[in-house]
Amino acid sequence: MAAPESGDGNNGAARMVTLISSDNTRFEVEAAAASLSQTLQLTILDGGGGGGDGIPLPNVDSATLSKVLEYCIKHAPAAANGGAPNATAVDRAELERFDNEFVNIDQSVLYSLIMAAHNLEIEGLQSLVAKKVADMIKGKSPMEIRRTLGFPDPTPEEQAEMNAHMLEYGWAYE
Amino acid sequence: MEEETKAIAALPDDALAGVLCVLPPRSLGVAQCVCKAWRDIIDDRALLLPHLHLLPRSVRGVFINYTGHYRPHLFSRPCSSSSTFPRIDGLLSFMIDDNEDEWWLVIDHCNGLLICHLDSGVYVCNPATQQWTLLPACATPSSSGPYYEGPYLAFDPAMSPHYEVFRIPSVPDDHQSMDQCWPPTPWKITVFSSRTGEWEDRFSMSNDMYQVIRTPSATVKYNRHLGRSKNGVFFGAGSKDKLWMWILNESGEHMEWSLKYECELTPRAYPRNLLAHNIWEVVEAENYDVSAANGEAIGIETAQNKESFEWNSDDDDTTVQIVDKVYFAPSFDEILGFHPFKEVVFLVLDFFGVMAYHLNSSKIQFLGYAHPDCYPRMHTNGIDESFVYTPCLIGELAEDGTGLRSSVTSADDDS
Repeated sequence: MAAPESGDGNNGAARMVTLISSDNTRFEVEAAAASLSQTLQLTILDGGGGGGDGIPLPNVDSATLSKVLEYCIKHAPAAANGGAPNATAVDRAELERFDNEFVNIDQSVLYSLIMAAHNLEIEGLQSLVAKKVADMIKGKSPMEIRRTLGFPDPTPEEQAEMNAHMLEYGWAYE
Repeated sequence: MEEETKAIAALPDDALAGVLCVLPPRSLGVAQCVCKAWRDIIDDRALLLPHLHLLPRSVRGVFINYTGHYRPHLFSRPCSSSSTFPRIDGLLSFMIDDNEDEWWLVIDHCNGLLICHLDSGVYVCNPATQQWTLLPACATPSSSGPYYEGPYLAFDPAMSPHYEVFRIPSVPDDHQSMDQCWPPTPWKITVFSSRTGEWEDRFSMSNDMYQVIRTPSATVKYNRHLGRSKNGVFFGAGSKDKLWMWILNESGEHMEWSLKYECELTPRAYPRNLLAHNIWEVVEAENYDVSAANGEAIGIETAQNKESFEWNSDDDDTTVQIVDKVYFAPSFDEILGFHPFKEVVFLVLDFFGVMAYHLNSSKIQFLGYAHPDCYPRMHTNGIDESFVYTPCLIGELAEDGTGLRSSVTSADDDS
């Protein structure tokens, strides 16, 4: 990975931080990548996570954290360039391809990613997973959405209430 | 964390809201039906709010029926190129072929939808989305029964993309008929719902209870106008330089009118540039694009530069440079309509001149001459009915254009 310039440069070498998942696995990653997380950014700016300390993430297991970091490492260079004003079309297409592939996952992994993106406040990842769920919802009826997203079968009361609301909002999927 | 609940369904509210907020409005509508928790999230966090720009929120112009004229015209602010809002086809040429010389009228307007009466039937249309539909004939036998008013339109896109059309038994206007046949039995309102696509009888007065809301003042019998304005239902009356405005007090058990404004349009020096500009124009039948305003503004020479003083109904407090003032005695013939979002009344002067009168500030602004070129100037001619038009794009909510069911002759063939 090419080291992105980190404003107040650290002698050219990319600064590394250590993140510790809920099941005590340690991940060493460039500070620039970890800083895509708003939550981590402050700690890192404060000098945390370096050396032997590591930043514990009690809400994120190692499988999820490794996935999250895969995203962050891929997106860190573009983010360091302040979004992507000088990114080439090729770069952007590559990121898009990566994103599509990245969320091609089963629902329990997606769930964990949504939670992690939310807790760690990784904006780009949040919108990526939200878009994935939106795609799962679009064009479906409420009942199909329930099935797709793992709702239990509705109770008779819930069913009645759904019917009433479908009358109200029936226009939405005429 | 329990392994088995890792379905999207089990997401906590905050995370879920972050997901739902990217949904397009139509999917949000569906999502509201999925379960109560989702509905609460969408409601509580107002996730539909960013889409409200599709709702009517500004006045584009006034649809006017002229006495004895074969068609209404839209009298409106010309569409500026900078406007984010699409151009309005004021001729409704998407629905009406002007070459047919068909007689038609606007019967009612509500939040961007119009009801039009054509030879071929009664239509509901949305000029902003260019959608329209023919209302099925209402089967109510009315040979011996009461006469009906209307039809009237009820449409609130903030609540639902569906509309309803009301036919209401008319109240006899003399005491004898009132005693004999009022209230009619059965007293019913026939309602067309776009949701069901059918007419139905809505309510009856089976308990013999109704409330008469007396019109505000028996002394003012002329030039009355009823309509919705910023703070509720207004009843306006007056002429020449006197204007009274009552507001319907709906808070108490009994609804009643209370006088809100008693205005005198005082002769004084007014900023010349507020009087001299024709900033609204009639959309002409033949030459749609070149509808040049040809009136003279209240005897003052018409300035050519329209752009610089364009009246913006959304922001009419922008600084208008007061170049110089001119003495003017405002006098109006009738009330054209009320601004639905602010305390402004549109008044007619000299048959076709239209001015906006700001109730709070007494400010007057001349908007232009609502006289179509194709309408003969005769002393019996004038403005018959008028409907302040607030465009609404909510048809887009149903992404494939089914907010109004397209009729068979429409280009859309899905239904």
